Amino acid sequence: MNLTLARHTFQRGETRLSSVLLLLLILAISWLLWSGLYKPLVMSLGVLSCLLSIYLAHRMGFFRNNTNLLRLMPRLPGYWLWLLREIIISSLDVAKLILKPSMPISPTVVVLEAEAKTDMELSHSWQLHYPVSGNRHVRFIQGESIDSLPDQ
Amino acid sequence: MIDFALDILSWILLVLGGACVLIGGIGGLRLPNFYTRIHAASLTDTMATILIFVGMILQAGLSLAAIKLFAIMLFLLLTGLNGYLCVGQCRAIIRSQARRWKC
Amino acid sequence: MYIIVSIAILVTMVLALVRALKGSSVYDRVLAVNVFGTKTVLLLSVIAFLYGRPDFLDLALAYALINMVGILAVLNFFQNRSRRKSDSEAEDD
Repeated sequence: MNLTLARHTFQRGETRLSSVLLLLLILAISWLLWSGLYKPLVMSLGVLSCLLSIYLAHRMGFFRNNTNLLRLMPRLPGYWLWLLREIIISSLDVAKLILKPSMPISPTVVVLEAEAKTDMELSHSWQLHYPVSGNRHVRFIQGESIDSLPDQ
Repeated sequence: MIDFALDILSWILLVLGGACVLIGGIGGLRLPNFYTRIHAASLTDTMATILIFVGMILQAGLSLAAIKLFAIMLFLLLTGLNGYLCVGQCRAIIRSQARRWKC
Repeated sequence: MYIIVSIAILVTMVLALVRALKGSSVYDRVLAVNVFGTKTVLLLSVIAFLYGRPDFLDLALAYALINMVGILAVLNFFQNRSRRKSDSEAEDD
């Protein structure tokens, strides 16, 4: 995990008003859905907390790299479906292995080189896909290294 | 008729999710070392979470509770798996540092 | 039917506690605690349906977020501690 690389990609680009407004909209909608109370006090507290969150996100450099977040959104469900299939396959494998009394595994750690071709891909894989692809990374080790290694 | 089928489906999903949770817990005890235990833990965390929450969403129907359940499922999938990944990588980083300093 | 699921989750929480007490390294323990935390979230949401109290879902959501932050804080502590330790060892050499 190369943290210095991530910091460089985080600090690049300009803050866009549209992404700020998009985040504000998402935060406001989720606040309204969660609170369910429409009194003036609660609403003003909600507005305050949304603005505070946006300020904190701005300080973290959140807005400086997700210039194409909207364009990638439509491809997310397909990715999730693919991910779901992989999760099911690997879960079945692991469940079978755990339930076998003889436990036929020979654990090994395999180093995999992951590469992102462009900056945008890298920053997106850090910000948006990283949590999920981190899962896929673990899954990949789970699916490949345990099963495909010869039993000893 | 459709309600009945949805009920049956959600019960099946819930029971399968409970079985996944149990298998993951047993695996956490049985598997021999740390990295293999991560696999058992992530089994309970992805498959069982998805199964149980989808089952409960089917039970909840179209309501605020379903949206909340979906959001909790999303958060749980992101945060829980990231937690496992961080534990694993923290261990790997510290081990490599120790090796570098020792050698 | 929710009772079956919640019993399965409770049994798994006990197994995770056993692993946390038995764990051979710090990371096994942290892993077991993480499993325990995520199972708590699952249990809270199942209980919300078992007793028909949707308020529990909010608690589950808050717990899911707090759990993640707690695990990261513990890991950060261990990493800094080991770095300090290896630094002081290097100075001794």
